Amino acid sequence: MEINKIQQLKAFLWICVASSVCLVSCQKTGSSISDYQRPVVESYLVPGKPIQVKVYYQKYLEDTIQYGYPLTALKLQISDGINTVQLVESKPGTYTYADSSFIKDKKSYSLSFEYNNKAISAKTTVPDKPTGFKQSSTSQDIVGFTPGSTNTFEPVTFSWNNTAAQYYMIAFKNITLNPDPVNSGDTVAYKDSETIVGQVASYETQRNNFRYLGNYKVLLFHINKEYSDALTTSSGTSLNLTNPTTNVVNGLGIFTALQADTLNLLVYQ
Amino acid sequence: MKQLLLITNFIFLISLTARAQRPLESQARFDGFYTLSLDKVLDTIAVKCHARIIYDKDVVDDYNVVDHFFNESLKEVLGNLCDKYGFHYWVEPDQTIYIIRSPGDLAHLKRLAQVKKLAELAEAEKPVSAPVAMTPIERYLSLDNAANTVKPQPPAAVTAPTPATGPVETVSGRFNLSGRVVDASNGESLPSAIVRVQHTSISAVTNADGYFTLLGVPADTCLLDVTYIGYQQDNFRLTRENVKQKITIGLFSSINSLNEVVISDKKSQGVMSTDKRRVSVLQISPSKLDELPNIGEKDILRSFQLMPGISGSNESSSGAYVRGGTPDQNLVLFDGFTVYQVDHLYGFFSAFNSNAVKDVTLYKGGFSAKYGGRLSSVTDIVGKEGNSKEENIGGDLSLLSANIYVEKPLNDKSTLLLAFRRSYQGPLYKKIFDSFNSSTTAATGNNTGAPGGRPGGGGGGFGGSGPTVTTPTSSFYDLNAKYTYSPDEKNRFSWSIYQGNDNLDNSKNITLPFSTASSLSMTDKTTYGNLGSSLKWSSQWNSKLYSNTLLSYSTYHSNRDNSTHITVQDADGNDEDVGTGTFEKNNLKDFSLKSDWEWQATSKAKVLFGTFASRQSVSYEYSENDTSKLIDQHTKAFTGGVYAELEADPTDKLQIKPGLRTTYYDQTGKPYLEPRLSATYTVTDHFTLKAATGKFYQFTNRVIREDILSGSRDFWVLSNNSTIPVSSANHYTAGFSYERGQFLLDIEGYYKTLDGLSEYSQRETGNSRQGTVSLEEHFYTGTGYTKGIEVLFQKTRGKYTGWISYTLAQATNHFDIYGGDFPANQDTRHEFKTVHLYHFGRWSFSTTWIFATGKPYTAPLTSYTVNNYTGNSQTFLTISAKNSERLPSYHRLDAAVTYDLIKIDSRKIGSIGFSMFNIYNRANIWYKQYTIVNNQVITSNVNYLGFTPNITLSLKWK
Repeated sequence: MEINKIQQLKAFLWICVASSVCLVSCQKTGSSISDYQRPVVESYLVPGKPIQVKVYYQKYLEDTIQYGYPLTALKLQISDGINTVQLVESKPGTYTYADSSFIKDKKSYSLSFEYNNKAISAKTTVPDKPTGFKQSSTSQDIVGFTPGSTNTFEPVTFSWNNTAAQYYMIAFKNITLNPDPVNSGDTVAYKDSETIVGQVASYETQRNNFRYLGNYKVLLFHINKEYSDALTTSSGTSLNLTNPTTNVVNGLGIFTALQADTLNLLVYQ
Repeated sequence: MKQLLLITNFIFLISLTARAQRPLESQARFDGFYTLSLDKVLDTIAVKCHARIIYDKDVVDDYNVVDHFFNESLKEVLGNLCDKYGFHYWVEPDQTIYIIRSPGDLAHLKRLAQVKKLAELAEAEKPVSAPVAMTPIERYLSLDNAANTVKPQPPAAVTAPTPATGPVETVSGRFNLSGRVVDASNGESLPSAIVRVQHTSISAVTNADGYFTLLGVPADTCLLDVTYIGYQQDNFRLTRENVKQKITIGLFSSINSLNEVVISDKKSQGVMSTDKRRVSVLQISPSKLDELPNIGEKDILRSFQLMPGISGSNESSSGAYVRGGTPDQNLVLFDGFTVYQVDHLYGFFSAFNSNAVKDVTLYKGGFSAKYGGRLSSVTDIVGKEGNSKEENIGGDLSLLSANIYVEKPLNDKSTLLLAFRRSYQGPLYKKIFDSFNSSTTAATGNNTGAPGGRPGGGGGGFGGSGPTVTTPTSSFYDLNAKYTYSPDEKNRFSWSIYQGNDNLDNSKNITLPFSTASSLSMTDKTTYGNLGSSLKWSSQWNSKLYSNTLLSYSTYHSNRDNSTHITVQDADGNDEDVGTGTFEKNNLKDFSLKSDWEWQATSKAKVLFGTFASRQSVSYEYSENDTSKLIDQHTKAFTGGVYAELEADPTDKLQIKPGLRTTYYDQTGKPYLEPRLSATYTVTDHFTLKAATGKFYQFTNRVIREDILSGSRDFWVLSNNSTIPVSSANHYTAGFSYERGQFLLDIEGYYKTLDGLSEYSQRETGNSRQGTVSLEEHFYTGTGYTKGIEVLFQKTRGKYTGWISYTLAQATNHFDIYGGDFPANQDTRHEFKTVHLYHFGRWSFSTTWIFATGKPYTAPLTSYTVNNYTGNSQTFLTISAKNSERLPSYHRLDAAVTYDLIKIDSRKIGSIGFSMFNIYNRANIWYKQYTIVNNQVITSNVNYLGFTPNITLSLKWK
């Protein structure tokens, strides 16, 4: 009798366990493996410059390395529609083509390679050189920020022709050797900076464009929409999870062409 | 200080309740020596002091009194006698004295007296006399019927004197009868009560004002069965006299020994269930809510979440996710006006004060043509009118809020109810607030989602000893007021106001230690709420025609100020204010007029028809730095239309309700036709088949921002002809219910298609540092479907009640932008809920356990970093397919113990409840958060509430 009861109890427990397993079992539906295997491409084509294409692996979320591991031993080629050139792996994951005359104005280029039995490709067209690029002043006074003072920052306005609502990007390059920081004691190393300004025809400088004083080259880049799309959306800390935009088919990153015009600007205090 | 005052007031309130029983007013003095049976002594006392004394003759008979009184008062005499023989006495406001053994006896005495009275009336065939001219006690005692105890009818408990209009007799000798069902103790009308002529299929459900009409009643000697959830079932004997009048039937609220079930599905009304022929309807009795476990408040909307088909795993939303629908697809009506914000404190509590609510009905789908404008479901809340018999005051005090209400008859034609609830920053409020706001500090990368701990619910990242952080208070409150005026038996006017507001302030003022800057204030203030008011006129034109006309106004507002101000002091001591931030404002105004009519055409057919019109205006502003408005929308829309529905009983077994609703929406300039149909077929007394279908349109949508950390979480918009389409749904529901004895099995399956769904996404383009920000708004449009099976197995009566509910469901959306089909955010495959209630004397014990499959979410899979042209690195996350991942399963055990405070007359005057939420402290994940720190993507879980105990004290004077 007692044994019977124990058996019944066992059976009951098994049923409980089985049913709860049934309840819990329908769980995770993982994403396809292929998502992890898309290579990351980074390449900017500028007329008159040699080609450089970097290819990385993606990183796992826990990885602390800055860039993904380089993807080596690929056979990259770039075609302008007529000629196709093979790129050489100059260092791991970096593929180059030394002939700086290959990239020309207004031409379209397509990158292609095979990775993991998949054809990875991307296309871009060299945009026109910006026209009518001018500035309201050749120098920029960075007024020291002192609490309570009423001094104001007088911006320099850069303008250019943009009748067709094309995309532009402005970059500031300090060309002074060992420039002084705007705020003495600023120890952050100097870095060029860029701003995707969008489909506008002018740009006003802001105080925080310049962390360092000295001579600057102000480069106005005529960029393609793909540049703007790929690099304006940053999925930093937000819950607004959307896949980053890319023009690389079966891959990630950016393969684009751009052209610049340059002006000089002296930044002083 | 405020809290202290509140608590002091409450203590005062408690002290008031000590005066529960009415003092004896008789000045009579008693002298002399008595050697009589106790009943005779009581009779003698009754005659001498002109009081009515009610007792159970059987019980009292056994005692003989041998006592001597010396100029003693009635109080002394009664006290002495009761002490000696183990009785208690209870004095009613009309000075009727009840002699009882235990509190439970009083209701018993009253009920028996009622039946007795009816029998007597039938016998005497006399019209009912006014309560003041009650027959003396001797008369009742001399009646020697099955029930020995009789008493004069409590005023208005059974019959209200009305000018006799006479029953409308039909040729066959049958007649029509109309009347009203009310709460016998306070005169509050009872909507959705069922009145049935015994041994026939003739029955009626009372309308919102408690009115009912029975057509073709066969004889004036019939007995009516009357049932209403949370009340004792009662009988009402028809007589030749009372059928000529408009009868009023008073029901007594149930006490624990009767073990009424708290929430009732369609069939849980015992023998009466077959008459409640409605598909997918849930009804709740707020008076019994305190027995269920709660987080901090008796919660009307949350209790529905324990039933099948309504998701129970959304702690952060009191709104109902009904059958794969979202809360904004659920129409919430309070006294007729639409409420747009249904919860408080980030969704943890529903915005309705249960002390101001009389009845709540939730239609899970396939609902009547009377309701429209929502895709999924309807929650119809009827506010209390207030005690029409005597003044009453009561309240609740919990770790979260204090709640007080007053009800008062202003004169014999009007009543007033006021209820006010306010949270205070007690431990529970703080815990919830912190648990929510700790998420905002997750960006530091070390967040575990654990609630509590941090000052002001946030502020992580300010290490060291320097800054002093002060946080302001935040709170919510709501106010209900209702004035009801009934100039005569046929007309009732009521004016109802509801206001609820949340003021969630997570701002911080930081005094910086260094000298140049004096203070940094980070404002993060969200205020939202509703103000609604309705003016209702209901009229019973004749026994067949009833109308309800409502003029209402409802506003909703939600503002968010998320900004930072730095006050910098210069050497001269002048302050300079540097401010940045975002400001959002969403406002909705809804001005509506509607008129609903019910015409009982024949005993087999009832026609519902009506018209409605509303003017809505919605504005949404999103601005940055107080100056540039990124979004500035103002939309006004008019909706209007008519509906008609037939409730027909072609046979005794079949009830069919075809309906049609048409709505004109001026934004699209089109009429929208909504055919509806529901039917039930009673196969046997125990077994009912049911089905419903219909088309539903929705013109007002609440869009939820994906990123809940930046800005208010949701806002209302109106459909337009371009970006936001009018959404529509088709419902198909079928099921059956089987009830035998104390058990009910109810199974329903549903399939719902959805069209014109909107998803919203904002994307900032440009660079905020460069001042070139513009905000792109994207409304993505898609379709969807939901399907599922709901199983409810319920024990409806007995000391132990409860239910097991299981829902197998799927909710799928289809948006081209996301690459086709994906599980909707609210998709939950399995949901299993058990609720157990056990009554033991004044104690009730309850436990609930909820298990639900985890919600889907979109997760980052990998990250990658590329340099831009100038060589600055940017890191991106690659994202899984939309909602392709699942959170771990949600489960939670809650329990509560409630001790009823019962007055000697068995009326419940309050309760002390101790409830425990999430007993085994399950870390249920609310959402996941990702932060890039040092190239690493840190995933942190933001959890729902852990173990949370709460204690609630509820009291009322009467």
